[in-house]
Amino acid sequence: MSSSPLLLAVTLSLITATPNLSLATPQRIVAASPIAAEIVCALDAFDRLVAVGDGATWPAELASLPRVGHERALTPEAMAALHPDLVLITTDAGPPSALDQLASLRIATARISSEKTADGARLRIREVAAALGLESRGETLVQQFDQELESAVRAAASAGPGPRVLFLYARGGQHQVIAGVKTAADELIRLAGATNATSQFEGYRPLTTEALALSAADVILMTESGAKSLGGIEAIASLPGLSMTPAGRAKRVITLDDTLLLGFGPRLGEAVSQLARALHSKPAQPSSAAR
Amino acid sequence: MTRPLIEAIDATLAVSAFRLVDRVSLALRAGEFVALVGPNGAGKSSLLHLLGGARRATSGSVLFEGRDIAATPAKLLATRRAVVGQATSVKFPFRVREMVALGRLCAHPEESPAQVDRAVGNALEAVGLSGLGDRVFPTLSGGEQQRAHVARALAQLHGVAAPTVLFLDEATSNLDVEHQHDVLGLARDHAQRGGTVLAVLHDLNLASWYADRVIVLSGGRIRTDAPPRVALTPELIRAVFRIDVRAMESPPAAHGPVLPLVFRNDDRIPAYPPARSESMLSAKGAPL
Amino acid sequence: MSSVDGRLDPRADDLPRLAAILVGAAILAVLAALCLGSISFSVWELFTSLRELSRGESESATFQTQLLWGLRAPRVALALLVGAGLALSGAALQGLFRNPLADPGLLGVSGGAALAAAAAIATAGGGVLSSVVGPFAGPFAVPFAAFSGALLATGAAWLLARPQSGDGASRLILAGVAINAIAFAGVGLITFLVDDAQLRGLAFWNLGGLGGATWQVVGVTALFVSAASVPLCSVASGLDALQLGEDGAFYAGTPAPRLRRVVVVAAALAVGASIAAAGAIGFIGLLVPHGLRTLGVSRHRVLLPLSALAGGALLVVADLVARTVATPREIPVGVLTALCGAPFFAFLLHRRGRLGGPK
Repeated sequence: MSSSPLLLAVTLSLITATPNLSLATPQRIVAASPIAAEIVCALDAFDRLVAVGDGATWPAELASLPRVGHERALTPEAMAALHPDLVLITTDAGPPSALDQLASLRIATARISSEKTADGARLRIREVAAALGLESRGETLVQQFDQELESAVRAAASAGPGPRVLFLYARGGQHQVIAGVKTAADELIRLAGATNATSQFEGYRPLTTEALALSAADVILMTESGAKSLGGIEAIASLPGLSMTPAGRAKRVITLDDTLLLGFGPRLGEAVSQLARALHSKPAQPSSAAR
Repeated sequence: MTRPLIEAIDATLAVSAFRLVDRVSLALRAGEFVALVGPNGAGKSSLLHLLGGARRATSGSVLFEGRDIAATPAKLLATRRAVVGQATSVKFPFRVREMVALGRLCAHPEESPAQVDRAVGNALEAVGLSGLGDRVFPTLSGGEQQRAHVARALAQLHGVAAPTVLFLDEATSNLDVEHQHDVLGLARDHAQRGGTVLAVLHDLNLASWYADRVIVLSGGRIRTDAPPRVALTPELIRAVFRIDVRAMESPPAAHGPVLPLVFRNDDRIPAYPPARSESMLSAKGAPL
Repeated sequence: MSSVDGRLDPRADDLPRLAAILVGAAILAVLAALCLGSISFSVWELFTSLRELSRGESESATFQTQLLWGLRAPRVALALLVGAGLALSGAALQGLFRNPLADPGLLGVSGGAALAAAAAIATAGGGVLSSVVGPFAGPFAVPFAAFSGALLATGAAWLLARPQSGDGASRLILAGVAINAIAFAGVGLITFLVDDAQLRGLAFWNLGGLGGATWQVVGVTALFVSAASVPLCSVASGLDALQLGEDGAFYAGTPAPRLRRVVVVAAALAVGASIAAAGAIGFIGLLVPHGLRTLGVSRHRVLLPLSALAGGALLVVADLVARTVATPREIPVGVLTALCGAPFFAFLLHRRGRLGGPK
């Protein structure tokens, strides 16, 4: 896929519009969005990171860096104390007042796309590469990304029609939503050659337990942290509604790392192949995609 | 002398250091109508609550039929004495008949609805509220509500064989003249039938007319406990209520209460025929 | 002298008719809730599938039967129980506080229950506190914790807003504001301390839902709610007498302290169980007793059971709407009850100057 020159230009202009930033490569980067941190590491620029946002778990080296809070709850003061010369966030980040504060503190901020598609992933890689002044490494990474993704999708398609997959996003007992169409989860499921069992609506929505039962899902897909917050695979498979699906009866729950599953970054190809492998493996016992 | 129904022996009710009731001894016997009078803050209501059992004496004792009233179960007490207290605002839309039935239902839970209805019907008729049984209680006038509370107490004690005590805590304060006498007349009937009445009253004339005995309370202590003629002397009234009065006998032929009319001593008012009652300062002006 | 006027019989007027109407409405509501949903059944099909189950073929039972009796029926049963519990505790609290504005949500009782439930869940995974929670582990842990929280909250509300001379309505609301604020802060703190993004969704009372209904949950809730109803109905006449004031209640033979204890514990049981099972669903405790009082039901001996009945029916209907109106999506049922209840609450405040009911 071709890059989007217009968007690149916009990104660059966003950076240059912020005063006090030399177009030269920034050396102290705060990557408040986990996917941004992952791309920076994939571009081999880990040593330029000074802090990352909550939820940045890949790669493992990020654990050694200080945290600056969740990307939707930015903490400009904490970030400012680190004297960054660039803050990398997605367009999902907020709240808007924090962004204003960053601007008034004259901290350069680059907002990268949060579109959850393969195209979006490529764009993000290029945007981060541009912000870091590593355009050529960015292109290499995009090529690598394309190769991995293509082979993963092809392998998934050749394995035959995939099962009906229901994606459950949970954060503790009372907050549970299901992924409809036009979501990251739906896109990933499609790439892995399977079908979204709940495609009658858009976005992430809470469904009635009866709708869950009627979805006839063969597999329940969750993030690892979500599965943990609900008490594990046994507990999930026995949730009202889910327990009546083929997935619930067979206790077929697949979990993937949060950022891998939903981040749509350089590892998208790996996400697709892990998911496809898990979907087509023999459902003898509850499977959890291995790292 | 029969055994007292309710007796206070050197009873004191103190709140921290302050004595609301100070070493009071008195006895209430069957067939008596006792009036409790005194200035504001004298401790009348506190004494009534002590005798009714709602407050525990700090020292001394209060006995019901010879036994410590605090050891007597509340339900048993409720079958033997009823209290018409000072008005509390009732927030919920009870019907009048439901309010009147309240006391009876709690004190006699084993009764059939028909028995309860009989007691309620009698009581409503006695206080003259028969037609208002279905009205919503909070929509009644203050006086009507007060009479309904009296009916409640009467219904609670209706038909009990043993002597019962009726406590009236300023139960006539916001009633008009006619109903003041109606209610106190009912209370006196209760006493004449063998019951006992303890009425906290502001109006000294009402006390002198209806009571067999008047207890004058001041500063938590009993100043006198005697028939009205002996208790309510002008000297005592001046000392306790700080107002000058003159006592007067009612005409011997009077069958009912005679209300002394009182006029201001004013030169501008022409003298009128001496056949009228003499003027007298009545309790109307007393700072009670 | 004795005039046995038939009209004095407290039950000789519309009451039996009203009770019959409510029972009929409740039955209709339950039937409708069982029949309607993602798949619709006819009433006849309800019975045939019951027969299928009773023949003991639970494994080979059809998908429809499983959906109906394994998913929908426990949900309807839970709605009945939670609605009954909330309405019952609302009516009892109004009697205790002698204030028509008392409601488990407004008073902060629900908030306290939710806080304790959140604490129980947060510590359930491990750590020192689970050794305390341990003995009550399993399906009783969270309801029991919620009960304790509700108890503390009600006690606090009593201390802050016990009826004294003068109008206690504003004090009551303020007490509720204070307690709810504390509970909100407490849950926020727990959420922060537990930190894992996982448990960040401990928004227990924001919008309640009956989706977690299983027969086990129904059983535990039924236990708590019936444990609450029995003592409440036994002190019903005492609650009437309490309207005469605490002294008035004593003089009528039902001392206030015992009444208070029973009402506080029973209300906490009912509210705690409801919160634990379904999160915070507001305003039922306010709407139902008020509606009944405007229909002439004031005596608690009748008000309490009818409130339970009407509250259960109301929540069954509200939940039916919540799960069918935007199917397959689910509207949180707390939103629906708030949509009805909050304007009604505002209306009540507006009318506060006038006493009693309209008739």
